[in-house]
Amino acid sequence: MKAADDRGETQRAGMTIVGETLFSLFWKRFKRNRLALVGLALMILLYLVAILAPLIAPYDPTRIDLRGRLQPPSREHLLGTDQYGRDVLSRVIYGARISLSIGFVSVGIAVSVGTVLGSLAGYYGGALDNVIMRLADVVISFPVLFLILTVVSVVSPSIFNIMFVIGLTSWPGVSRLVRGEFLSLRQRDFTEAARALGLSDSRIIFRHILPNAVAPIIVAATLGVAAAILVESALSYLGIGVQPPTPSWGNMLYEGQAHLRRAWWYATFPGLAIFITVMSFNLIGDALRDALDPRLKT
Amino acid sequence: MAQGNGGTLVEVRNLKKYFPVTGGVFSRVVGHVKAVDGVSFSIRRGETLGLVGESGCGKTTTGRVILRLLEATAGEVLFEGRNVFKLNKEELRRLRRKMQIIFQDPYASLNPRMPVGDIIGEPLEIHGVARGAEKEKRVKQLLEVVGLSPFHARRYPHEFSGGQRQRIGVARALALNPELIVCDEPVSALDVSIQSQVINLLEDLQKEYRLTYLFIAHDLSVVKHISDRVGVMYLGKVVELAPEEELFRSPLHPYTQALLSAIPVPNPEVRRERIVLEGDVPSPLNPPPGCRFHTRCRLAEERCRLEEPVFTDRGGEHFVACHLGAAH
Repeated sequence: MKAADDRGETQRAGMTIVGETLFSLFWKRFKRNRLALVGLALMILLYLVAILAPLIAPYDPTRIDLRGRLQPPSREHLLGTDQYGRDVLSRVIYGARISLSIGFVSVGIAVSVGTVLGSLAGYYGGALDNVIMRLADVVISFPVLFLILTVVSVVSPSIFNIMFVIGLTSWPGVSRLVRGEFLSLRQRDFTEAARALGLSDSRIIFRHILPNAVAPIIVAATLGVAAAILVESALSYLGIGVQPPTPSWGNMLYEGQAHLRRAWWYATFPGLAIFITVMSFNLIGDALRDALDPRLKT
Repeated sequence: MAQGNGGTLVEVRNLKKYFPVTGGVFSRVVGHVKAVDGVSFSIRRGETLGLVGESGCGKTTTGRVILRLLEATAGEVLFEGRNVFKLNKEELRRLRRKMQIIFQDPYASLNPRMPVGDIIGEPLEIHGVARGAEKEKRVKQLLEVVGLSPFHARRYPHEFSGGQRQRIGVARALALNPELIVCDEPVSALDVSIQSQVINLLEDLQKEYRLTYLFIAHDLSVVKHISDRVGVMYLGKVVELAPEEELFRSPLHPYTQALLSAIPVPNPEVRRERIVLEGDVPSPLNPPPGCRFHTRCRLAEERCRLEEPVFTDRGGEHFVACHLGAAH
């Protein structure tokens, strides 16, 4: 809307520049990637499913029906039932809540911590930079899965603990990225101009440098969601993630594998859900990377 | 061209800026790039002091150090008699209102994520000059002053041409009503046809607001046009400083003579002697002893290799650092 009335004014002034916001430029490029649009549609669908789970799930995901155990997909149970007679479709739907919220929250933590630390390291440099980056090296050098195993054996494996552990182990990637952006942006003339105008460091960091570093952060966050969902699935599969009877795709996969020969549907559908989710986030992430690349014009 | 009236606004004394060069496993300091190595000059209120020299001679660094965008290694800069390097954070912030900078590259000097109105209005807000509707009014005024339209305030920098962007940069520098503006090659990134527009704008603004310019450039014809006095830099030092007419009529330093002979003359009939310098500028990491120019000077004598010439007045405020022609 704003762009439209800008254009009107331009015509009145008799000039040829067409007002085009940065967002519309980005959207034009993003749209060109068909796969990314598929990914975006799937992601929106997944979030809707997760939010509306109680409305669309045909059964209570924890309701046990011992007479209807391991039923193949049928009209009553579209994706069959598990070894306690619980409806697999309902459990996959509720599992989306767990996976997506773990992906969302842990990436939120990772991005916040990584952005703050990366900004400080990149803007101030020197000793502070050294301390923060060596800390990042230490965190990165831990094998995440084993670190989580250790943490979870000390504290209880609740969904919140898992979010925190994933978040607090995946910030170094973001902080390195942000630091790199800051290193180059703080040399740019507009940062010098801001300093010459007497702006405070925090204003320069948050108003001038960070908005220019947002693109790679968004890409990293999108890809990070996929990675976090995979880690959660792996943990739940190992039995130290989300604890039954709460359904998560990972623990369904674990329980389902025992019955793989007799009931293929039990492990297949949660696995498919993980695959679709991770794939859609990766597709979006890749397309964002291309669309936000400032080197590409038009 | 506004003549310098009133006293000295800026006094630069023996300014030095060395950049450490590190190497080896432990990042030891293995040497220093002597970007600016003992520069002294003064700028009078209301005048334009041109500063010329080839790339890497330290002219840009000099400008940045004066504004304290870079910390000096040694020396002092007095702005209205106060040492800029001794100010604390708050005093420096207040001084920033009085000295501003215009950058060379109009594409890099504006934040691409900020609408033009915010770019120009931000300093007003930060320094408590104007807020809200008053700020917007002032932004629109500034846009008009630099030859843009008030409705441009809502646009983003990428919607403008290079010349227009440079005007935005000028408006930002003007926002706080500064006394001194360091113009760091403000036209060398622009098309020739646009250059004159921006130069004329700068001249008009100088007359209107009694501005003082430190005009850094490598284009001699631009400097000749706009400056009252001109300083020539070579390898971190000012080698000659004189009123504009005097310098262009009778340059004393061999380097200045070579530079001036390189100005194209818009007349193909005229044949004149060009002094072509041989070799490259020596590394500022390890500048030659004695006179820094002796390695390329066609008139160099034994003395030039050993003894550093003193920067002295040859009469009529014509300063030069050269042994030749100096009184023995």
